[in-house]
Amino acid sequence: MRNEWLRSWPYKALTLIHRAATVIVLLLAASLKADASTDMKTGFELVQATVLGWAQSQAATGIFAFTLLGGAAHLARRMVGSPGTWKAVHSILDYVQDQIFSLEPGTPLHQHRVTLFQYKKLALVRRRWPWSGWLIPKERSGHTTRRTKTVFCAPDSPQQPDGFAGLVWSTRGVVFLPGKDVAPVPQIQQHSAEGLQHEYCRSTFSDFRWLQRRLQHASGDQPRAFCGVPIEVEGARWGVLVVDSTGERIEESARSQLEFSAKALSTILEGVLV
Amino acid sequence: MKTWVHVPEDFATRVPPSSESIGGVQVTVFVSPFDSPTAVRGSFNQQLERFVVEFKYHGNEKTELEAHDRIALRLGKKSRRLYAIELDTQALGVSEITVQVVKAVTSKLEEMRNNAPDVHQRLNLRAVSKALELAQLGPRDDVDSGS
Repeated sequence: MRNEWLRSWPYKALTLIHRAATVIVLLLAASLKADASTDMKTGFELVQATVLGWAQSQAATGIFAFTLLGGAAHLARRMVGSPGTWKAVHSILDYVQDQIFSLEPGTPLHQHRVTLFQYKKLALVRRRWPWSGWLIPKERSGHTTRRTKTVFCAPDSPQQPDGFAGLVWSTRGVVFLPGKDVAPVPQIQQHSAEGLQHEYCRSTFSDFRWLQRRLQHASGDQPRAFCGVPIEVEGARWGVLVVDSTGERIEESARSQLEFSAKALSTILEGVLV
Repeated sequence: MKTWVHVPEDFATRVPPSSESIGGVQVTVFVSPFDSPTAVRGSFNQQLERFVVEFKYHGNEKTELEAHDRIALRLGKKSRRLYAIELDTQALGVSEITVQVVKAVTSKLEEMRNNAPDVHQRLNLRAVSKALELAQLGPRDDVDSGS
């Protein structure tokens, strides 16, 4: 998950390149229509004619090159997404966090997180082939624990999901874990027994080695309750929104907030390319 | 029902969830807000000479027509969700639109639901059936119609 500075500067730089390329293309196109005759009277007119002559000689190559550059910058800008878009996304995630968990006074909000994962066909992850399809964290609620690097595999088969995010991705529905009549996920910490850790992995579709690596760096309780919703943009799967909590359960009444947020995110993310 | 009949705000909560066993863990999957129709309408299309039942969803998606025997389905290109059912009323031998068309649509939806390969398609078809039920059989003050 990139911070705001790393997101806004590439966007601004790409906007500048796109605008500059557009202006240059327009100037080169206009130069083709101008008269570059050399019978000039003053020095200024001579310089003007020389520049114009040079512009006309370079126009064909220049228009082609700067059109390509402008197009590439525009495409890259859409892939990065505007800082305004990501601010709006962050506000929605904060809203979901506030709406779902505000009923538990005294509990630190970083124990109840809302994370937006984006689907990417290609990613450099050590565990599997880069083209396996991945769910990459793009934004998270609140101000703490935002530097997560946890990436989940996103296969289309729902029988072997990777983590809860992978489960939501493969089922393409709204999922709560644990379900209403299902036993809660065991509470585990750094020094919990291995059997308990295995049980945690089975219940949350997590990889055991991944959990062990995570426990080496995590001091507090691990999330025990999850809910998630798929995000679609213009009919195509974009990613998933996952809510996790160290509490025992997330009430199914959270569904309306999830559905509302999923639709709002879908509209906001229309301008961001996958 | 030529105009769009909007489904209630809490419509998704009325669609029964699907219980799935995934990797030995029992998981309840609810319909996605993108698979849940926001409005429904049905009318006889003079140009096509078919009775068409359409479903509206959040967002826009390209669709494609899948022709079956006497019935054609308009499905989302990427999502495979149901956008419309077109019934060849003549071939079906249907004279009374209201009752028999509903029967034909209901049986087609049930058949599709039984053959749906994915949980999200099954839930979409459940939502579609529920939307039809609300639009046609539900109390009128339960739904609000618009163009």
